[in-house]
Amino acid sequence: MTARPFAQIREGEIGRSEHRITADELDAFIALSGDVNPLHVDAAFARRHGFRGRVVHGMLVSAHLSRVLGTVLPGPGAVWLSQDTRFRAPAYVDDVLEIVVRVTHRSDGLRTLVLQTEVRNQRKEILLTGEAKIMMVAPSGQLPWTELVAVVTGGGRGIGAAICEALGAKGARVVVNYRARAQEAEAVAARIKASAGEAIAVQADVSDQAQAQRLASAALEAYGRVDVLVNSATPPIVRKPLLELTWEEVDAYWNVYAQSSFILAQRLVPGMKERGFGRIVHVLTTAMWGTPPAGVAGYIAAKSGAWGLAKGMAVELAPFGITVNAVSPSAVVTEQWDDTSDARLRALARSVPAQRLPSPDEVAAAVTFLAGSDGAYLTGANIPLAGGEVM
Amino acid sequence: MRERLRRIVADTIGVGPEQVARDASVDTVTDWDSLRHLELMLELELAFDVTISSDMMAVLTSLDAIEEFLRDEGVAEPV
Repeated sequence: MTARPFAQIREGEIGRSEHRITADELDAFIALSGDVNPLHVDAAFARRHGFRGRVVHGMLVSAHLSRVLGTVLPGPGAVWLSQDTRFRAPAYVDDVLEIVVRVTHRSDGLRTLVLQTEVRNQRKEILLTGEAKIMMVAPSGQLPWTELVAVVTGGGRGIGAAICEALGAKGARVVVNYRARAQEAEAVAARIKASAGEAIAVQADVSDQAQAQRLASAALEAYGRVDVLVNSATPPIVRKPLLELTWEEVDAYWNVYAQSSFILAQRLVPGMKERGFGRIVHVLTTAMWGTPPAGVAGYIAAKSGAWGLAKGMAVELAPFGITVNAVSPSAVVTEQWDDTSDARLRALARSVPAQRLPSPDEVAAAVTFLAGSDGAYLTGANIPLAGGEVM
Repeated sequence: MRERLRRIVADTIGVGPEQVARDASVDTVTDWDSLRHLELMLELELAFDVTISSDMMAVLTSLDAIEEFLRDEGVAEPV
């Protein structure tokens, strides 16, 4: 049983439960509490003093209120801070208690609730009224992979494709986003489905706000929810000296790395908050760490902007069971590097202490860790997948 | 305002009003622990119709800080 997400609880929401009080239960409570007041123990004594029979302890009635608060509303994860109670009439053996609680106030900042509490019998007589103050513990962030839906931007090839397949292999349903190459994205989705997974390919150029919105809508329409957002799309990375760089080129990086993650998060985070679970992972770069290479100022600026956004989101969303992290790999040799000479690639590999470059599958493994329940307590972290290149 | 705050703190913490000095804080009232503090914040929300964030909860640990916060929120005297 997991704690109910606080965001799901609404003012005015009502929880109720019925329970018949038995003589065995009353006797058990007498044994437990040691309260052998003859009003509870001796029916003749109780009748002589104007009661219908053995009187049920007020605290036993309250115990059933506790059950409703802890299992019905607000439910698992409730911490009972205080209770004002007024016992209005006695309860008897064989009475059917109707326990009703209603949320009258919820405080987002304090994660606390005030509930009106009432217990009636089968004759609708009020036995107990009061007010409960409840704190809700934070969600633990544990959900099975098979319940999760993941959206991976730029999922049609390279690192994004490896991430899609890794998430699909875990059991998540995957939305494979692509910009232009439908065939490759469909092939990724097909491979996931061939391995008994579930996936769809969705075209959207996420650098465009409206298309990023459309991607979110398509994912929600297909699967009804999104739990994992992986921002791995990238425009072509072109080395260019600062004075030759145009703002439009900088903007292209910015729109993919920062703007799209912002737009997608704004659409998808409300559902994550409702469920008390969410994972947002950015694929960044080790070039952000330390001294960047020359000629990629726009690229570095946009990746750094995305990371700033990620940190802001991480601190704001942590109370809701949503983590926001990043993986920063060294150069991963994908199609982006087709124009690079073999000699330069070998030199790049030799410049890393590990003497090699990371594979897309290794990036996917790090993303998968962050996207699952294992990474539940890690947020605001940028993991350098760098073979020792940066520390 | 200070007298009403003292009463709210005393009622919530479960101590006599005389145990809540005019400059009381979590450091001077023994039973003002973390759970009672949470309940106190909730009482303040209900009593003064204000919203308290988790950040703010961490600093509202004295009558001085609470009164200053309520004034900033536009809670007028007498309350």
